[in-house]
Amino acid sequence: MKLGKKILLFLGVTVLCSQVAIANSFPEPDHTTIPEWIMIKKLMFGEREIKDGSDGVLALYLNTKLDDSSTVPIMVNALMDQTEEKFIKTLYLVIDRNPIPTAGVFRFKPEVGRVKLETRLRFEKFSFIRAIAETNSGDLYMDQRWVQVAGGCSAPSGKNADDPLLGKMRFRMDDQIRLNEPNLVQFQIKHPNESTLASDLEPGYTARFIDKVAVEYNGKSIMSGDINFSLSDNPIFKFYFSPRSEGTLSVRAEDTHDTVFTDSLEIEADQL
Amino acid sequence: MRILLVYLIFSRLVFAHDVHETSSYQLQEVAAGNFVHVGSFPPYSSANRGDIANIGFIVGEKCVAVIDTGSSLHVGSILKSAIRRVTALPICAVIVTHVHPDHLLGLNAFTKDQPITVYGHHRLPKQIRTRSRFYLESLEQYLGTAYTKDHAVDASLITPVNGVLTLDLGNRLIEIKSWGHAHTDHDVSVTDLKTRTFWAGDLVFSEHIPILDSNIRQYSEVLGELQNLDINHYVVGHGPLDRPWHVVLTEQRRYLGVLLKEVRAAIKNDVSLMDAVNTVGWIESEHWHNFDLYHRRNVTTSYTDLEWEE
Repeated sequence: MKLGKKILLFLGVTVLCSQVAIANSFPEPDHTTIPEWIMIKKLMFGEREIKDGSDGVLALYLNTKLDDSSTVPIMVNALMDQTEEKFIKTLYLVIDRNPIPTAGVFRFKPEVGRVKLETRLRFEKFSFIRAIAETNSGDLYMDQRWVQVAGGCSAPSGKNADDPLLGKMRFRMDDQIRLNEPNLVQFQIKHPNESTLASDLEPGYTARFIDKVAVEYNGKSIMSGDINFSLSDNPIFKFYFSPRSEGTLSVRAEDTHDTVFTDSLEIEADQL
Repeated sequence: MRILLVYLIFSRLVFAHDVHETSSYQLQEVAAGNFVHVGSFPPYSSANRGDIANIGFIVGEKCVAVIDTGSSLHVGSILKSAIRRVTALPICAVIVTHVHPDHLLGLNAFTKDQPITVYGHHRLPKQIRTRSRFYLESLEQYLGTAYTKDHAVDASLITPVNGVLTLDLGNRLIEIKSWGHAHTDHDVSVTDLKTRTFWAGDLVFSEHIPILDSNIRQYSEVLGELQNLDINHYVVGHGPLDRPWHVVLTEQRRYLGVLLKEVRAAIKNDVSLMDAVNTVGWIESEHWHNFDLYHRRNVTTSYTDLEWEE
């Protein structure tokens, strides 16, 4: 995994440097013929077949008009429930032409009930974004969208890493929690999630971004992710989980400056 | 930074190099000695050639102060030629109201041949340093690499203003005032005390949708302060100059008020950002030019700020 990430980072940077100025607007290309994607696909999945996910497995949603390349909300919805027999174990978000094309690798347990992920992303170039689901049996399914905004990674962050609220987490979930059913939960971490390309970084400074998040319920993992600065500042995550009893939902995030942020939410009996 | 992208992204800008073509260049004397060139509405296009902001100058008995220099050397040079048609007095000051490229990138047209004091907010130099590369790379797509180097603005040229600074142009005092967080976090305005003409920069927009590149709550407070100004004439950063000042301000405060109220409600009701950009504040859509271009970003900017409000 570590090596794979480095290769992808190198690939991304090479691709960026060799790219001439982009045209202002061009029609959506054929997503299967993108040179960056052909390389990424080979590195990440080898020769494995990737099926069309929109046929019953997953769907990726974005607004058609995008206003801000550093804050693009996306939503991935599984079209199937998580069962012990068949479930999505990994969700990959790939932005073909970002400096690190693997924007996130998220692992889900069957206990979430149904896979859903909402977050916000940065786009450096016009690019496809791809959501790829890997099931417990090893099958791959993909849905993708063409995105025409640019500059989201190299834009100055304008955010301050000295923010006194750094690492503060915000939770959100319904007042009425239903047992053994998927309930939506959202958490957000106050963090600049600095891009290595941001034009306001001092030379020699290592960009500070969150690279790991993990969510547990009563000490048991329900979702975890390897992420990077392809996520917008103040990274946000919305997903389902299905509690079977009352307990503690805890989040742990770690950034590239080795700072660990933790917080938790009590799911109490009167909510159940 | 967010601002430039949309300006640039829609249509390719063709910069002709006939810098001296000024016969059709319009100047409006809004008050004695206060000359404004009213730009067309963004985005950039081959028709407006990047001439999208209201820029201009104030003439004293001793010298001239320029307020904003346009989006390129081309736009700045035309303004400079126009000044020469009005007066032979030297240019003694250039005031940059804020960092956005349509106000800043013509600066070198004024500073390359002669030393001129350039004034800006005390937070402007940092903004120039951090945004410059990004702005120039974006400009490069339209001008080509050969020209962008000439546009690079030297942040150390800026004489910082913190509070109110008074300049004497010769029997004409002007005041430069630095504001808190408003349109950006580094806006300055200029007031000609002789005619009580207020140059608002992009603190105020008229008919063109206001653009938020800072904090919506503080921007609204600044607009409240502007309502109390004792002025006779005004210049806004974008839009016409012939409408009543209090109407222009009231409209802009209404827009920001709707935005603030509806974004807060969206956050409270758990309306996601993805949905909010298409629902919040759209009641205002008929009232503004370029609403479709900039409103969603205003929602994004305020939503991602206000979601941390206690």
